[in-house]
Amino acid sequence: MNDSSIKKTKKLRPNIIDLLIVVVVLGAVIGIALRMGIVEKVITSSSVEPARISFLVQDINSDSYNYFNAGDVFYSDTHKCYFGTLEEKPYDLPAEMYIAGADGTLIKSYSPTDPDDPTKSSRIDVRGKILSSGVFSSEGFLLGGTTYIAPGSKITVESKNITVSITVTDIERINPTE
Amino acid sequence: MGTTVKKHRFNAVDAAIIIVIAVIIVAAVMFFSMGGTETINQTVKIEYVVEFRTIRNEFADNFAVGEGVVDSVAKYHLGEVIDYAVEPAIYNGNDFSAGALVSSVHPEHSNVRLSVAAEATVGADGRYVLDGGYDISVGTTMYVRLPNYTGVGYCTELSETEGQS
Repeated sequence: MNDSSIKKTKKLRPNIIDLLIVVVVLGAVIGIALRMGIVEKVITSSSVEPARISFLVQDINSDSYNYFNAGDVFYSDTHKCYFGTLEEKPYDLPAEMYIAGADGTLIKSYSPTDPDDPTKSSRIDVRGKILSSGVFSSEGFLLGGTTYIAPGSKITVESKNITVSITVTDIERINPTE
Repeated sequence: MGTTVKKHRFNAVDAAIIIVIAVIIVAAVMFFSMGGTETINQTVKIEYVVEFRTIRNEFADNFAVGEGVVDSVAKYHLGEVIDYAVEPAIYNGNDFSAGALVSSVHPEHSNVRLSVAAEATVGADGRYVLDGGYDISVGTTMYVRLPNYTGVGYCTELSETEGQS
């Protein structure tokens, strides 16, 4: 009888080790998905709306104002995500300062003028608005649907021209008719 | 003529794999359950005040009764706002000519005091624990977020409002 005609079949039966490996791998995949917020992103991406984020930059060099231009795209260095687009050229103000007078009371003052250019202050504050998008949830605004920000948030943002620390002062929904 | 079925035998390698997987699972469970506070089995209702000091006036209206308070760091739910008060921020300066401390209003800044109600458990050390892991007592620095404001405040008052359950 020819041995090659004898067919050897090896039946593959899953055993407890295979089961454990599958469970651990599934658990790892689910854990990574949850940790990366993939589930949140899927759920919230459908309710993303346009938003206008008002910001304040305090006490910067007056020359830095030249690096804020309408249309500049900003990224959040703090949250490592896209932040928004500068809606229009923001406005600058002399940097506000609070100093104690000789009698100990606190007085609001402003940055002195630039000695090289008396028409402008040496230090300025900048106020502007950034067009962005996110989810307006009951817990607050989620930038991009995932990152919580609110008035009071201090965020480092960067564009191709400038990196600056901003304070969020307001977040509003953009009316679709605008 | 016939088929040969090789019977799998449980061996030392299989045992080693099972042990390694079991250790990984136990380590993962321990890692993710670390940081929780051991509590005794008492649930109490508390009210506390978190004070935001010297915030810009433009933020002073960003609070409302009924808002949830969440810890910014670990996302613990810290209760619900039941009241809030806005007061002028006070600056203490030196009047050197008179040799005295002088208090004055900080221009365009306010202090905001939020009264928050929450359910807490009592830790093994007697401290109140919110949401299973957030220790709170007077003096705690609180990094909180609300729907329309986020900032750093301090717990300045705390009291139980209902007894143990």
